[in-house]
Amino acid sequence: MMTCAQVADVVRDHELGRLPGRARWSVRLHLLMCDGCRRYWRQLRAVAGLLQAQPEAPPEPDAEAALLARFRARRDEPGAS
Amino acid sequence: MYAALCLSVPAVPAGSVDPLVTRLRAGDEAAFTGAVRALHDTLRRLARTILRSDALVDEAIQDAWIGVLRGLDRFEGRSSFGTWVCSILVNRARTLAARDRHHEELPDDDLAGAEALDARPVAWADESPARLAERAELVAFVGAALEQLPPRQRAVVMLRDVKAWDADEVCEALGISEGNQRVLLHRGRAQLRAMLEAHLAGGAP
Repeated sequence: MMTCAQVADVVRDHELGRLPGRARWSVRLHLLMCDGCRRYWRQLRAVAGLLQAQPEAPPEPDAEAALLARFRARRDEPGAS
Repeated sequence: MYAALCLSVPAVPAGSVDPLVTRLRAGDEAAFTGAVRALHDTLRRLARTILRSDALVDEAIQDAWIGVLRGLDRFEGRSSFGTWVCSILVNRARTLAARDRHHEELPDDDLAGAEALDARPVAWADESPARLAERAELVAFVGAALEQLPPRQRAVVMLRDVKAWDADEVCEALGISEGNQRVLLHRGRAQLRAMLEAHLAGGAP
């Protein structure tokens, strides 16, 4: 039987389908019997969903152009770096 | 038993090189620009866990890509490309932090304020992940809450939950043990859950 703390640790892996079979069943069994963990699990999923929804900052055009210039230099002068 | 639960499968099988790396070696500009864009947000968030100033964060990202271009021919594909780029970024950011005394490396995590791990959660008015994720105000709140986490927790939660990386990739990129990764992740998530709970209880609009 997994402890509450162990369940909380693997909740995200469980949701992503990354837990091996036996661990998956251990999590499900624990959740079936533990009200507190069911709620905690749901709430952590909510937090994970809000984290996944975070906006992404794109690179500054100048910085991207500078890097592309480096990339071209490397390609056009093999062995230069 | 527990250690076995946390093992995850590497993104690219050992011994084979990511097709992206092959394209980069061949000088494929679109592949390079695509990689710079795809990894930018991750690199920026990661650098900000080590450096205070935006200027140094930008410098660290540039340095990291230059390091990537230098090392491209030697990259053996033991880790995924993204993991490798992030590990270079972490090294460059630490070097910059050590060099400039005015922009010292951020202090190590103080875990004193961390929520008790076994605190019993109270019910929220709405606990549906799908519905909560649609509320822009809550997305912004959790984004700001993430910024308030201690740096190492922030780095781990960002890579695991914002970017959906596997545990072993995070350990590799940050140079931390599996045990540390697990503790930092747990504390960071618990802290964010508690902050969101307090926010929701405070009668947010």
